[in-house]
Amino acid sequence: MKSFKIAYRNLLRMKRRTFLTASLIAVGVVFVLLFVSFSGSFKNYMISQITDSMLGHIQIHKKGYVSSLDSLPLDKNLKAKIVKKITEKLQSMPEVVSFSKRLKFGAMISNFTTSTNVRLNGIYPKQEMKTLPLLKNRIKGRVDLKPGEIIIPELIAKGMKLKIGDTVVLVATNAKGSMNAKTLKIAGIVGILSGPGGKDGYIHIQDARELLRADKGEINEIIIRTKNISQVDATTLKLKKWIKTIAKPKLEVHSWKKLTPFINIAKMIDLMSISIQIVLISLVLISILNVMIMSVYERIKEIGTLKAIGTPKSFIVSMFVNEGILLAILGAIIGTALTFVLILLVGDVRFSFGRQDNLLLTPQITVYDVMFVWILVICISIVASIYPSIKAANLKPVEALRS
Amino acid sequence: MVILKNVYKSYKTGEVVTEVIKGLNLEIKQGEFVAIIGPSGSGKSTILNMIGGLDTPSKGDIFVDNQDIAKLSDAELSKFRAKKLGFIFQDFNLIPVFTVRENIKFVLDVIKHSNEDIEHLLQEIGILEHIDKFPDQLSGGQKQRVAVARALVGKPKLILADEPTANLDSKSAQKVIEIMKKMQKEFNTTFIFSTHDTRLTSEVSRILELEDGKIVRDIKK
Repeated sequence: MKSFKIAYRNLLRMKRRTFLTASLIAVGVVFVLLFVSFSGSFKNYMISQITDSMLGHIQIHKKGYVSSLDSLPLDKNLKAKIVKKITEKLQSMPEVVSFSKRLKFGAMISNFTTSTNVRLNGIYPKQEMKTLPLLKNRIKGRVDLKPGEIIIPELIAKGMKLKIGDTVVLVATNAKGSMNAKTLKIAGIVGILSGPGGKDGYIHIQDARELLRADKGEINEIIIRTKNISQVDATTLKLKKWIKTIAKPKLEVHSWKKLTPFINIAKMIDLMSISIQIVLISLVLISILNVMIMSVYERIKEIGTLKAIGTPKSFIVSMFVNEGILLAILGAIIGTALTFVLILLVGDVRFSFGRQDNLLLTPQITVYDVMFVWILVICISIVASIYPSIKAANLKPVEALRS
Repeated sequence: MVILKNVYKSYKTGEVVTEVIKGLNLEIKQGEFVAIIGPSGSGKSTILNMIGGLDTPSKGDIFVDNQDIAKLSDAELSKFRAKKLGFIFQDFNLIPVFTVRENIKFVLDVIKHSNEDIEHLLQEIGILEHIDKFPDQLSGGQKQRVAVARALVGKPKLILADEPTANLDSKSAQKVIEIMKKMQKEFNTTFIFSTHDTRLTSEVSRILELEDGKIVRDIKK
């Protein structure tokens, strides 16, 4: 405690230097926390959009489906028997909140004057909305899709000048090569989202099966929502172990991380976050090392006196280390307070990402973020103070007193 | 109390070796009030530093309270200084961020004594009213009295003082001398100090005159 008192009073004695050093640390803390808060919010927002309105947390397919997803193959559909088995398994897993079965396929859409290609999901609407709670936010119009209705992608609606209530014709080729057509009424328009499936439309699974002349219960994708996104990896692993017990057909399980290219952007964000943290570490290291070395040189005589009266080396070391820690804490407090003020001032930010406009970013800092930065700053301050404090403790008293 | 046997001390600056102490033999008994005098550079401070374990002799043995201090490790020397020695410096050397009370209490903390009556000691020395002041709020004389109190509080057997009155006016110097004498009588503490101050030499029981690293006169009163 005594060494803390000396450290604290020395910082007070050198007010200007203390303030300047703490400010430098605070700048670093502000940079890290602001970056973490904005990039973290962006990352979480995008992940939530992707998983809660498009991909779900985990998907199950027949082996090889994902690698040929671009062509939306129909020869890799799952038959009713295996779907029943998977359904029973998912229903028995407490970590699975809900799941939805899909029949994905490509078709041609026509408004009777023009036509274009469209990617479609045949869905059970209630299950789909439960598994993708944010999907309804992307849809203008009705979300409780009924047989005979379609939710078309926004880009197609614009391109073909279609609106809710209009009628369109879908023409699709099934797995055996025969073509079929069906007339549907537009119930809603779904907004685009970056990534696979972001430009897909939706029809009722009954219509999809009719159009493709598929067997009852036939699907090609199961999307799963876990209780918490942090359970995704463990649940994926559990499912992977389980599907190994099924001899035929071979299945594959993917978490959302393996299904969207956004994960690479998320990794880039994490990498940039580490880079900013390295800048913070350098700032703290250099400023505290500099101040502590100066402090030792200024107080050589004081150190000599302490040694002459028999003060143990450990006390002298702790005196300077504590000074570094207090400086770091002061800088961290100022930096954290400044960050909160800046976030309050800036408030919510609207931004565009790819073809998505008007996305709302709400920067947030978690207790974990603040604690992480504080622990980092304090640890670095200890490292930076060690060298000068050991130098001080090893000074020869006679030389220190003579200075 | 203090025995120096054939002590030599030399310093090397580049290729030049300067011999400061040349074969010193000396014995000081418990309770003696000894002044070491001599011109600047004669080795007064060096002797005090070596007796106090702050510096080591190039050759020879130094015994303080029957302890060969050359054989002590760094940590042992620190403990030895804390328990057996008190230091008074020309420039007072108080801890600037501590109050008078804290400066004195610090020594007690180092030797793990907590029951000493700091206020009584400060009363005796005449600076009790300044107990909660910081060093920069005190005059030179007051600072040196605090330094004396700090040296005395752990009741050491030996106090080493390097020109304790050099930076003081006559009145303050007189007061410091009086306190040191009083304490020496009260606790039978051995005082060894280097000085140029004739006011101080007139009060001592023994004067050691140093010239070129050798004692040229040993006057016992």
